[in-house]
Amino acid sequence: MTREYAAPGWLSGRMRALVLAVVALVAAGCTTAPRIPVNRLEELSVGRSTKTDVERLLGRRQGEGGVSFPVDTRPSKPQYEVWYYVDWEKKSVSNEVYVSLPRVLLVFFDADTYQGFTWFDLTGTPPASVRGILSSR
Amino acid sequence: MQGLLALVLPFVFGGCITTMPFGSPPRQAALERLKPGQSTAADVLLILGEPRGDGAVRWTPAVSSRKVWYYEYIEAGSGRADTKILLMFFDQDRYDGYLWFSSASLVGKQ
Repeated sequence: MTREYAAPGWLSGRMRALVLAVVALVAAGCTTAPRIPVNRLEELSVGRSTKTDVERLLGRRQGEGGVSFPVDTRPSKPQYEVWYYVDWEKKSVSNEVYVSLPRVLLVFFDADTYQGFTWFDLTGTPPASVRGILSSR
Repeated sequence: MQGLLALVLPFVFGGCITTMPFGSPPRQAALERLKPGQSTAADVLLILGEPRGDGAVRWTPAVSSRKVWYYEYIEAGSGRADTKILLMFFDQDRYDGYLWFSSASLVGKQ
């Protein structure tokens, strides 16, 4: 016996609403995170700003880490805490294929005190400094 | 109706929740066993295993360039990835520092 499935119009109003609600909720979990506001790093002061200041300006971190810099030649090499931020941007490769590319920000702390940062962006958008050079040619 | 839901939901969730691991998690907890200026590349290899890649860094004119070993672990899903990355720095053949960072979900994963 062959079983036939009903057409979408067969869905009752309540069940259709349930399916749409579930799809919307799951899709919301897949959306790209908001960009890290790296422009606000200028508002931080090395040696003075605190973790509270960083969280207020940049939001909650996505992860953590640690660093011991090779350029530090002191005999007892200090170790710093790292806060890890990342956001993802979807770039279409074709109509059906996309890749997710990260922008990463690392913020360094000595105990509660902000010490500095590094960030890099793999989303393929030319940085402002590069665009400036290109536009002047 | 239940049949339709059962058919639709795995595709919807499948696009978002399925994750694909790549590499093995760097063991940052083992860094305590290494001594800057004393431990060798062989010690690092023994404790952390083989790196996925290598490179070099020079941050200031006052300090010579350092060799870099690169370790990474990725759990990739749809639209995002959780990562754990460890860079090991060497002065000649001697361990000279590190940088690691990790998504919160992978910090304890060794």
